[in-house]
Amino acid sequence: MKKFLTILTVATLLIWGATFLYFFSTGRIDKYLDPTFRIYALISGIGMLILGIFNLINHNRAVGVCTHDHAHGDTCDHDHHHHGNSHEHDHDHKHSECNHDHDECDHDHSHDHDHEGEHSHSHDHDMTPSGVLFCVLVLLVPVLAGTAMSKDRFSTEYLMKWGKIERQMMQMRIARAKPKQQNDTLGSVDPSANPYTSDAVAGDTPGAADTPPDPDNPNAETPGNEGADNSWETFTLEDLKQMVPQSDAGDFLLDVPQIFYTAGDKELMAVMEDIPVETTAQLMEETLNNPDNTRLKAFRLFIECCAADARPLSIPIDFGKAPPEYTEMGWYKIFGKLHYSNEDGEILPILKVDKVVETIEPTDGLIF
Amino acid sequence: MTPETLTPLDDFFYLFLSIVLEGAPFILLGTIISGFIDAYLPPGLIDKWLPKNKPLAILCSGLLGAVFPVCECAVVPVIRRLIRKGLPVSCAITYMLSAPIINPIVIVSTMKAFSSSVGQFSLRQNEAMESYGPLFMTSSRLLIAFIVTVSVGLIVLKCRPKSILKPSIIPRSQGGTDDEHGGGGATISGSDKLVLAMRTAMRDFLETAMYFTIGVAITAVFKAYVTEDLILLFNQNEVTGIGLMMVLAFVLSLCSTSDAFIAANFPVPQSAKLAFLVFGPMMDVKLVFMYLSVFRSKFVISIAIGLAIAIGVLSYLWIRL
Repeated sequence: MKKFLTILTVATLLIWGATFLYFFSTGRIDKYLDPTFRIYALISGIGMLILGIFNLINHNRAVGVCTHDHAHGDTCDHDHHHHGNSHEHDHDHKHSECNHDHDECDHDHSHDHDHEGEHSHSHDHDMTPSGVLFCVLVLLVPVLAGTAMSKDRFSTEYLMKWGKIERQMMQMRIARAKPKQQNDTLGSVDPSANPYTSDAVAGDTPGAADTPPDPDNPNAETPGNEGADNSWETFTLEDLKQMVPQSDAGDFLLDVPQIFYTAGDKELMAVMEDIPVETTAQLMEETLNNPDNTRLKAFRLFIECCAADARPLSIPIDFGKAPPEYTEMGWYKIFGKLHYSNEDGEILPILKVDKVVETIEPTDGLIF
Repeated sequence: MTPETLTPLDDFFYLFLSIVLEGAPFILLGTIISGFIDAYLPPGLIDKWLPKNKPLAILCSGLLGAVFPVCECAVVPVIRRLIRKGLPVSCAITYMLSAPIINPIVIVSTMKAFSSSVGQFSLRQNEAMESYGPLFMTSSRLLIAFIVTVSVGLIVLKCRPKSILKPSIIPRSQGGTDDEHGGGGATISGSDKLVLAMRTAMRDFLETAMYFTIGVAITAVFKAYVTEDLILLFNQNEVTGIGLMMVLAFVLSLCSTSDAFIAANFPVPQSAKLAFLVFGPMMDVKLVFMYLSVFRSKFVISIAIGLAIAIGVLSYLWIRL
């Protein structure tokens, strides 16, 4: 029994190690971890195999042979006279005062005696056989089932759910930042900063995060701006050109998360209103901001460390008519003009689509 | 056109595997260190390194993570072995709770996360969005963590080890039993010590990984099945936000090296972010199960409640100072 359990635990470790190496060698790990963590997974997979093989080779080797009586354990070379389940109790008595027969117990005692006798027991050599089996099951079943059944991506429902949360958080964040941003930036927009829009900046462009622009008086200051300390340098189109590459056609090559995070920043929105944009993203149904059913959602997954912290950041893309047929979650290059809209009190970056072209998943499909 | 329809179960497996692949390397590292501690570190040696004055030793333990940085996954098997090697329980718990926060890696990641909460996507620094700078948030995180963990250590100092530790962990010097085969055992040869170290490492890895796996599964279930309306609760008021952010930290079980990036983008008061950043690395779902491999369940429950109250109150007050 002892030998079987030892081999079982070694086999468990080897299976884990092999699983880690499998994920790395097949490239599946790219869908799960940031590149830095992939290396750790590789090293640990090798480490688990080394540890397992070493222990397998040496499993019969007796080291540190105990001279004292163990309470429990399965890999010990002597009979513990205990078996089965476990419970814990504090005896706080001399061993001689025990009124039960330890040899007859059908469970693991793990006694906490205040020892006055010379024997000692109940240390962490090993788990009971049932404990080992439970441990092996817990370690192997979900990992092997996951390896076999995981599709290495999220469901549409998951992305919609967490995408909605991201949008909600962004709007809350904008709302929370309003007062400070007003003080810092309002009034610092250079009306000539954006030649792409005929209205220049002040017209139908993004207003302050809290106050929609007044169509009749677009240059009106927003409450809270009086005496503002414009400590930021004015952001201009030239700044944008230096930061963001452009295609041969002059389109700004922006990622969805970059566009997503411009919402609420008055200066950025002013400069970026109506600029031509090319972006690559996955498409899915727009369920949040789609009053006329003319929009789809373009999204990218951003991962800090592992897929569990993945954040689906998305923007609506507007076709001005019913969207064309598309592959849900498919990859597309999207060309259009960037627009900021205030809808139901929310500042939304929206890409007004000129055309979409189906494409293959880019090598950086997941953004780390 | 629609692709193959996936279910929440698929999400569960994807989430589960990603956390296992991310966290297991650190558990392996911790358990290998634990194995070598068992085999090569003579019992009582650490006790000799620490100041004789117990409160001073606890203070030093609170800063030990800066010298021996380990994340929360790796620290549990390490302290488990250190306790059996004679490290006072109060110092071990202080180190266990503080090391995942008070270490250079976490300091850098917190600074980075709050320098620009939208990270690489920011077309310019969005500091206008933040009321507090990265230095404030990072130093606040460290300071509150230090105060809380040292306080816990001082409280534990008053407790008997047997009321805190599982019987199998209590060293003989503290009223437990002695299964120390390594360092102190003069009868073991060099090669035997290596075998012992590797054997201990494997055993510790399997046990710790089992608790870790259970915790990760619960986390994955939460993420796969939680509803989006939950987020609206976070902004009801500051106190609610603090409480819910700690609940979120508990359930999400994020690594302390990456949790700041999540916190920085949450639309909650800074005090709630702070509570999230301090509480999460000390207590989360997977850690509860890992702690249960070392501590009695009553102690784990007590410390979870105590930490939540202390961190919540301190975070609330700190922002107002």
